Amino acid sequence: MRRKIIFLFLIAIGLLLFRSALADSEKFYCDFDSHRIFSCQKSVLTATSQPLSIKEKDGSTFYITPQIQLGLDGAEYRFLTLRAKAKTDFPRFKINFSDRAAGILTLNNFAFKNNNQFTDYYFNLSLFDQWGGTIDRLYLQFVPQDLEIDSFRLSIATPTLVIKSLWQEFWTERPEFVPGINGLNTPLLSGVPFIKYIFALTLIVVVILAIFKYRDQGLAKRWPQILLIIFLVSWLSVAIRTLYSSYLSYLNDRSLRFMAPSIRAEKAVGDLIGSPEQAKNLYSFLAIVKNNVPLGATIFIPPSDSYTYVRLIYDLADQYQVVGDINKASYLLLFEQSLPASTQDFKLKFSAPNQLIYQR
Amino acid sequence: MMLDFFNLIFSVIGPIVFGLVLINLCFPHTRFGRLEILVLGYALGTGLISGAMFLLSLLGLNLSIIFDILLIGSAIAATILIWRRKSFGPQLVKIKTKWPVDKKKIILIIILLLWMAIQIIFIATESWLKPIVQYDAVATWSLKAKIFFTHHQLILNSHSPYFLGTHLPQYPLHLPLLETWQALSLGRFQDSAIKIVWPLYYLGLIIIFGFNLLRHSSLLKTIIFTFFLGTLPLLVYHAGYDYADLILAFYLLATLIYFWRGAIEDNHQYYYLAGVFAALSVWTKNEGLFLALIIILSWLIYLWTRRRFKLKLLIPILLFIVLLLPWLIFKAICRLGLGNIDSVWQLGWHPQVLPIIFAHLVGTIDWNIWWLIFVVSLITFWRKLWTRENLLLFLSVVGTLGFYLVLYLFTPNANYVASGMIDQRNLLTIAPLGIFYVGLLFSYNYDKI
Repeated sequence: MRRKIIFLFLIAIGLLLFRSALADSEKFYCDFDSHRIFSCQKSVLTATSQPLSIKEKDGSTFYITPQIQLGLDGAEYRFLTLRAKAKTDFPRFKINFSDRAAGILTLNNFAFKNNNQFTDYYFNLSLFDQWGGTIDRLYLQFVPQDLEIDSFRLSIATPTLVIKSLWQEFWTERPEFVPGINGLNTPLLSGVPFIKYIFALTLIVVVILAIFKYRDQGLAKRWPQILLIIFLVSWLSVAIRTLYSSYLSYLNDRSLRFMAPSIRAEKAVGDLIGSPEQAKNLYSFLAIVKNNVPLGATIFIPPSDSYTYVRLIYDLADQYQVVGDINKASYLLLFEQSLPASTQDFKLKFSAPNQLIYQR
Repeated sequence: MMLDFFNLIFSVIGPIVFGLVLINLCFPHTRFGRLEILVLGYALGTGLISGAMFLLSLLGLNLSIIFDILLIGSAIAATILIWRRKSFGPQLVKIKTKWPVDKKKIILIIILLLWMAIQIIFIATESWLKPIVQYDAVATWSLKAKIFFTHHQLILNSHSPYFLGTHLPQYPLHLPLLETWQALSLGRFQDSAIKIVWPLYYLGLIIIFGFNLLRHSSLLKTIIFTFFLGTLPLLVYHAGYDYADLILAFYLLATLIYFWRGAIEDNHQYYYLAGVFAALSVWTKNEGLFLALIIILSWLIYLWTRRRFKLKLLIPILLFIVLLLPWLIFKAICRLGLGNIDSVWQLGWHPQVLPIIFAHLVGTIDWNIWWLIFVVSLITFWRKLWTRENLLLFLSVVGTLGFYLVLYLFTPNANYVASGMIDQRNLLTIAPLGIFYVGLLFSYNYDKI
């Protein structure tokens, strides 16, 4: 009887902690609702509660967080997704945020796509040195009146914690790495805060079992097994996300069909590579080229004698015809022999560095 | 297309054949599972091929001729295998294990196996559908392979702008040469096809982990810990891309496991095998040198405490040194360092990395809850941690972790930790050792050593 009570007690504690984990992991999940009213829900468990605030628009300033302290860790929450519709192109755009230093980010090279339809824009804010600290409030400045924002999302950008490099910016924009996109916004799948509660739960269970070890030898003998079960259940709850990410990645990759020569050419992305010193953007660019340009297309590369340039040649030459001032590497043009019949010209555009945006 | 398929198959079968011949001739008194020996064959064979490509290049041969030599070599190796199939050296064993009686456990096992199978399929598609795009993968490994393949030689002239593939020439050549081998087999540099190597190593890692844990653990526990390893998010991520860390993780785990098995079964040939894998880990990444040395040192301490130390047991260390000698001499002649920062030996004190490392380790995105499991397990089994049975594993795991901690706390590598570049991928190389160790801690039924 006593053993059953202990187990019930443990389960109750586990459920309480689990519930608080659910609540807290969604604490900072802010979004506009279907009426384009900004809401900051405390948790999915209170999803039906009233929005805490509404969006404010004051002249050219567009407040996207309410007058409360969000308390977001900038180092963690650094991925911004903006779904907006514009009627004109805007050359400048600022993301302001208030922390102790009242930081400001300016995206000089960003332009909304003028297609009169809602489009997703992705910002990897960690690429800016200014981003950081505790983020209490966010707002956009110099935003023209005819910009319509459908949704805004600030979330964790995940694998970049592993290999934080600018070359990752393209791949980290994939939906599977952004909790909250594609309906994957359940707290169990939303990431880091959950670990604290798993940790707390496990430690409490271990301590309680340790206490009872000397009182209840039966339970004590089984505690490694119980521990293993706790580990497995906790692991599975997170592993669902890994599996689901793999699935989304598979869907994404399948649509790219790299190995087939029939990829439809889409609009040139361009504007990604700056000076040779900006080699950090090179591989984002390569990824985009390989996503959008049909195999065997002709690529014109502006003349350069840089090391980056040589690398670019090497990397494109196996799948494309590369044309440019290619003294050193022109023989590489013969890399891919079997080109599709209808090759399509594709001109690269080189522009200022630090371009962060690409458009899907 | 069909030809491509056969070429791709050959690029995998070739190393396996080489490796099997090597195992057959050099380690005849060993026992392996059937899948396990295939994995070992591939891992040894790739090392043999990349090593041969390097050595023959030193003789001035270009890669086309070297490929022809390896092609003929693989035909000879296949002939040897067929010829000796009845007297194949190592004993192929089926590991005795019991399926649990409890239906719930059986269902759990099936679910976990299915889950892993789906994960493996996704990894394979991830690898096959994308070209190589990650910066490190391209610049450090794949670009070199492309340059070697294009030039049809290794470019050993240190005055050439393409010397050893241009970028970071001090890095070992196992991966670039392995990718070159794939490209030579295919006849062209097809990113997606070349990436087949990574899912294979991932699969191999799981297989040698599972097979060796199963010898000392129940089926359910083995499946659970293999599941932990196989679904470790960072490992899954690396399995789909072209970083060297997964492959280093494989060789380090193989080194530790076969030292440990040699100790358990008192069979010196496992030690020799471990010595070869230790050399291959250095041939894969520079830090492999220190990590392999730590494992070797742990093994020597283990032997010393067990009073089993004999001069004959220095053979694995000699193997380790001899296999690496050409590469190390070449590096010394060309004055190639070990790290990718010149100031690595400028010692300092960088305690600011500790909270960063902690934040990385508790991130479920990369590690699920592995490090939590690790710490809680060590606390739980604290009395068994360094018993004589566990000493080798304990010293290796703690030693390698300690090595990285020292590296981050006292060298300029701290800057890379601060920028989030290295600590995760470094720890990935030793995470499988920890999982294996914890897996064994949960399994009480050791054979008597």
